[in-house]
Amino acid sequence: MFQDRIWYELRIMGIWVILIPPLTILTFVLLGLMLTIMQVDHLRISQVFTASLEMVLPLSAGLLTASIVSYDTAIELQLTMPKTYRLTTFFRLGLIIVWTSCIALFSSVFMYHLRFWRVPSQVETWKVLPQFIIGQLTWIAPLLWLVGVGFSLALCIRNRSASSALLGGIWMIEAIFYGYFAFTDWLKPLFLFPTTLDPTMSFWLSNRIVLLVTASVLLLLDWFLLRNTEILLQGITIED
Amino acid sequence: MMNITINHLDKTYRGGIHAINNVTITIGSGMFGLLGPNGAGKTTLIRILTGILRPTNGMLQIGEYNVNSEEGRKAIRHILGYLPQDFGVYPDLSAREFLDYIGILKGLSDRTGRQRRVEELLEIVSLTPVSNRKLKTFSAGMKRRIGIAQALLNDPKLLIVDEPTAGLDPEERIRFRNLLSDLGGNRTIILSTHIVEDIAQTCQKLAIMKGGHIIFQGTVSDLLNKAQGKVWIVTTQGIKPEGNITVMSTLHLSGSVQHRVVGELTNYTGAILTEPNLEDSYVWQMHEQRLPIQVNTL
Amino acid sequence: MNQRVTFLGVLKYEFYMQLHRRALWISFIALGLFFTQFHQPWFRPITTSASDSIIYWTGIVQSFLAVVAGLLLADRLPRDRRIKVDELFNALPCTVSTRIFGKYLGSTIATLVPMFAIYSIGAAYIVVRWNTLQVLPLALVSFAAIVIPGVMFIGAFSIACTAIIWIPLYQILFVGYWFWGNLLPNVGIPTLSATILTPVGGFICTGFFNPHGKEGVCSPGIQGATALLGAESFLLLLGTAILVIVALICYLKWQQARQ
Repeated sequence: MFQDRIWYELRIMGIWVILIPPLTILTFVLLGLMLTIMQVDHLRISQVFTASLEMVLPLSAGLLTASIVSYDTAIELQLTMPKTYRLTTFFRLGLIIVWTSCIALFSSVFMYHLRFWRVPSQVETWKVLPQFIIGQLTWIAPLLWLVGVGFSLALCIRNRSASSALLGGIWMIEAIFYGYFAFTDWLKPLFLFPTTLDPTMSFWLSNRIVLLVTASVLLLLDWFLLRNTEILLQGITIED
Repeated sequence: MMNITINHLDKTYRGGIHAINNVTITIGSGMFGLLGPNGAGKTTLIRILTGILRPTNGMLQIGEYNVNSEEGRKAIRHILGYLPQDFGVYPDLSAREFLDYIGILKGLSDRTGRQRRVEELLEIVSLTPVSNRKLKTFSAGMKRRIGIAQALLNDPKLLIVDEPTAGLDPEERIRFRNLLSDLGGNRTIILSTHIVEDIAQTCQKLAIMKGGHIIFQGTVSDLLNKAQGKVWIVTTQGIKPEGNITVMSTLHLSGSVQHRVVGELTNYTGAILTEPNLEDSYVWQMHEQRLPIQVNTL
Repeated sequence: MNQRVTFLGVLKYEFYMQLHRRALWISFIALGLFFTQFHQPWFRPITTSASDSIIYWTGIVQSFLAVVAGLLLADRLPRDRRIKVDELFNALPCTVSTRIFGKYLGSTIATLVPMFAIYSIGAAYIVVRWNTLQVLPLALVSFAAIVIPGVMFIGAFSIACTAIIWIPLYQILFVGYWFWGNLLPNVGIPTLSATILTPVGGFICTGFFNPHGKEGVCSPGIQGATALLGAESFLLLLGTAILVIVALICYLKWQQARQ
């Protein structure tokens, strides 16, 4: 039943949920190849590959979450099922996160091996295995954070367009105004892309942990927000 | 046998909209009709019964379960089959896949048993030949049939169908009614509709809602009796009869016009008293509530 | 049928429908609030020129709020399919081109309204802080020159692309494009950022308002951009927008004919 369930949920979410993460990595691989041929600086190419894991994959997962997970064409039926809609929604969320994580982990193996991985200075001196394992926080933290924020926005605002727009705006601000995040004390814990943009920062580990904790809090909040079936039902009618 | 007891149920939406006011009904097993115009509160009541919405006030007991509690609402889902008014489907799934998926959500964990059940239901609703077609290619009637099929997957003790025949052609409508009638027995089936004919053909007991209130509760015979002496056939030369009446239909004959009217018709020569049908009784009931009902003449 | 009257009617109603969307205002206001914490013009030294502040503020508004505009326009055409009015529209006597141009202009102009509101708050702050009304005409001209063509350009793509691309996929590509094609600094990676086809308005800003290339005026600025290049960029953005809408109309007509 579990495999059947996974199959159906993926069918319902659509083929692009499966295709987007590998296509993203493939695009960056091609870009990396092109930059190598152009003899661009190795550090810059590493930055590009790190960005694919830390910035782009989490963005795509967050936008997919904001758009799909909180919207269902058969929601009224779903709300009457013994397998509650809360579980169904988190199941779908879990699929997006697990699939994106598999792609990220698989890609990181090659990036690390080929030394196209930007290692944060805080873990530079660590041994290979712990460095690689902890290094996965590079993408896990922003992935869960953007998914949590995307999901929360979609449930609170009850509008897919607005939540996607806000998530895109937040991403843009984090990418362009990263200097503020790197040097303003109260913003440091919310710095999403330090590995790509400023790997020398001294608070990388604590930043990753805070992001994970924030993401957990948001997802817990979402779990409780999904209890309100009346609001979920209303969400469809106010979509436009 | 499962009884549904609703006591003094209220539902007020945000913005102060009173969708349901002090509703008290008892529903036994068999087919029960919930009749009323659009905006009467039928769908709100249905959604409270299914546990989607919570009442503002009042008590709701379905069998042994108190639906006011979270445990009760969870328990109801295991014995419930529901066909919503706005029945949404997943357009890229086939009929078979959709039923299989809903079966999984209903907790039918054994794959072989579930698939067998899906095939049975596809046969019952006569959709086996198109079971591999995607739902986006289905007509409205076919979607409704899939809707009833998914509602029956878990062999529910309580089946609720909300406006199941809206938008269906006469043949589909008859097929649907027959299907619902066959499903009665030990089940409780609530048919919510604004189409009087659906109730007339299938239900022994019904309730009529208007403006969030129950304005009638009883058997079909009780409702018909209420309109005894109130239904007339009036033949004129073309002028519509006037008075405290509702014109149900107008038939143009050669040289005259025959009107079927419901209401208090006094001192009208040539008016013939006739037996009321359920639609007449419904209109009379609405008439008694002193709110205008428009009945289109064909 | 009077197509002009129909066009104006479509434009008017698409404008009101977009303007009344709660999502529009929530998104712009929420992101606009970010500016109060982060950036110009609140923390700009008063010793700098008020005109430079206005131009910089225009650039910042365009750089970040245009993303929101693009994402909020992406669902306008699929919405007709979702709420099932497309079949009705296709049966009406008005032409597809009238309807689509009306939808495009109405929705995009409505989306510019909250952008302009947020822009006005910043401009008003500059006027008060620098205690000068002289920058007001500059504010209006720079908004018209930098923001409007950029938003018209991305509005056209947002409305057209989602006729063939799934909305979430378009949103991902659009955010990626906006960063890579408009805001990515020169770090040795090929990008559209420094070309005249950038809706963020670098060429327009530098060419029209900062020809001497002063630091801290245009964001982003383009070294060596002239007024002629600025004019080319302006016309290219608007021209491309029209071409994209024409292409969309041709596609929709072809789709209808196939059915």
